[in-house]
Amino acid sequence: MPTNVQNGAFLGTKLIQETNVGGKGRSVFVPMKGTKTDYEFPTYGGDIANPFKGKAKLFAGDLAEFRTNASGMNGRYYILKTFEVAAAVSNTNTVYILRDGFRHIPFVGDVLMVAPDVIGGTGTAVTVVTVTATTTTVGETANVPVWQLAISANLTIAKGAILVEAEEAGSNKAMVVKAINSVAPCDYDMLSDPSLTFGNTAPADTNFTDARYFVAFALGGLMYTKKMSPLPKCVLDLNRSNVNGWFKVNYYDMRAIQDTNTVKEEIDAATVGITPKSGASNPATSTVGAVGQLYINTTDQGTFICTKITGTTTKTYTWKEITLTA
Amino acid sequence: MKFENTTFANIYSPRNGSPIVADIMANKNLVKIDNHNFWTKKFDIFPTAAPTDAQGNSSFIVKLREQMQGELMSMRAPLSEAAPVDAPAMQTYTGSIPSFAPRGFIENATERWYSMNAFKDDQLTEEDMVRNYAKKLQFFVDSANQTLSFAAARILSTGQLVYDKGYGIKGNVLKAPIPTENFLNAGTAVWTDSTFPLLDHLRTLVETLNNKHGKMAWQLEITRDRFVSTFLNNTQVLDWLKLQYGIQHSVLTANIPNAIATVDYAITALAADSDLPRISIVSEAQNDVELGTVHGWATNIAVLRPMGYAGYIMYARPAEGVVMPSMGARAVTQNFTTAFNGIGLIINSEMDNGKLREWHTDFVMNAVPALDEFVYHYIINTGTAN
Repeated sequence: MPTNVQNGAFLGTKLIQETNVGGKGRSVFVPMKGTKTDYEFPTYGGDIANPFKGKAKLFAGDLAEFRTNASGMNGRYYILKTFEVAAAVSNTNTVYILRDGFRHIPFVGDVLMVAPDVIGGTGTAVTVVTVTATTTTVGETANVPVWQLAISANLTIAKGAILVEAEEAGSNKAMVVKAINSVAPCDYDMLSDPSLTFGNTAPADTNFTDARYFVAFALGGLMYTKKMSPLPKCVLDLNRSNVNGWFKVNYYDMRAIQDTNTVKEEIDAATVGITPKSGASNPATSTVGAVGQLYINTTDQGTFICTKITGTTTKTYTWKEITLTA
Repeated sequence: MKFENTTFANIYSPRNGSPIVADIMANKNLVKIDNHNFWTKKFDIFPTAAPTDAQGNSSFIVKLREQMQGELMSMRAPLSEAAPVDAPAMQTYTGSIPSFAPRGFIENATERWYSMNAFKDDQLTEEDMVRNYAKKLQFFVDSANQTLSFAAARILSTGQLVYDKGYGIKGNVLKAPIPTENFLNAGTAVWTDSTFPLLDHLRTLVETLNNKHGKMAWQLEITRDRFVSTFLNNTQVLDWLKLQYGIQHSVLTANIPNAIATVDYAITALAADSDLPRISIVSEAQNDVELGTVHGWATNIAVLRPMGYAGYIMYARPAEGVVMPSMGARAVTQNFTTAFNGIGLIINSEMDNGKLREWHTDFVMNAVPALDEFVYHYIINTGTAN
């Protein structure tokens, strides 16, 4: 008797029914009459490194990170899955997230965290233990469809918070998606069990039967934010659109997509050497500076320049007074 | 002649380009199609392209090329009936067809302007330009051959295709359902052990398989390096060859055993023994963009399988050939030429880049080799004794 039957014949009558709703969609992309350049696709595309763990759907306008190696090649996609918390919970292991046809679906085994302040940031992550489709009362509205998640540790979460995927469970764990540089140009129905080990080398991936999803997402897009999957603040902060309610992922200045704190740090680092320091007395060997940086004694207007920094843990700064002659 | 009227400039024309490309591809003086053709010796191309379903899956189904073993007949009385044969299991496996692309070529407007000036001054002839374009096609054909040869070598020697080369996606592609018991070790000793009775071992192995599957003509696929370090280093083989041809031992074991003539000589001699499998030397090497020379077939692996093709190259139509002609942007003109036995697609595109234009030449191929003799496919690790 053959086993592992995947196809064959049944010489009788089979009654079967499936219910399917298709075709309904949200026009997420902002229309423009002129030529748009959003449908630009990356080199060779990539596989979805963090697929949904069961039958689920990725929507047009959903965001993802296209992560390449140092050569800018061998890309993989890390899709941004977002789950909106339906009701506030306090120090409990049960979480309700909103459920309707336009939302991502959580699965047992997903590792989730409240979205951190910056993309790719860290937080406390928990594992989803059970997923139950049910209804609950949200505010004054009864019977709101939700997913009831049992999670591996107690959390306190505010209503409306966005849960995102984390790399592993525990405290101080990183968010899976580190950047936003790709937009799903259309809906993607993922109806097969996915391989969760694709691309593994140690130990080698031995899964040849589960689905491996290869996609090429657009490198940019302009969407109505409200029609997108719910976005956490760390992603909204990356918005390149100046129009309220529109979300723009830029194709040409993706490098600029980073949080403002990083930009400020980079500017500070770049300008530290050219901004003079000042104080009421002469600089000491403990006065922090950068080589080439000036220091002005505001009492006697003496001007010093940092010429050398020595030491590793405790640094010694050498300041020399500059005497200007006419 | 104006540059715009040259054969080369017309290659990118949406209307005239495709026949020109087809002509160049068909010209053996311009494009050689049989470099790196290891796969063509092992696989036949499936007669039709596999369809692609709405879920993006170009899948194929392979049926085992099964042979029925005969039997001793039953002695019977007149008018009696014969017993019916039990239905054999219909072994199949399905897989998906991956898509591949080599690097493409881009000529920007300033580069073309340079060519136009060179053409005007007769530094560059029309023939030069066509030959330069043919080099691109040669690169595509060689890349397609290397990719299929690598995939073929991997599937033949490991039973599965893990594609871990190139700039694109890396990972598991497909696995043939070769039974676990078909993965064999060397025998009582590794094959490089010169005292191992290699010929006796092979004769016994073939006899066992013939008893199990019915008599078949078998072949042993082995890399040249391993053939030299096993057969041409094996006392029993060398003694047998000496006996057959009365040649001196030293001729075969001196510093020339790697010479092709010596290998061919030994293979021909071994083939004379009808109890041995025919020996087929595996010769394949490919060029990876990052790793340089690579081989799909590990040196220590030998494969014992029936003579003939191991299966089919399954292929599907690349998405570009479907999407771009009907839905491609008007600012981009393209022409498509089916090439490489219908498996590949050459795409010439012309598009705006700022206030100038540029010209792209690309190649895509959706194809993968699939075994259809997987039950009779024996993979021997010659470097590990039982």
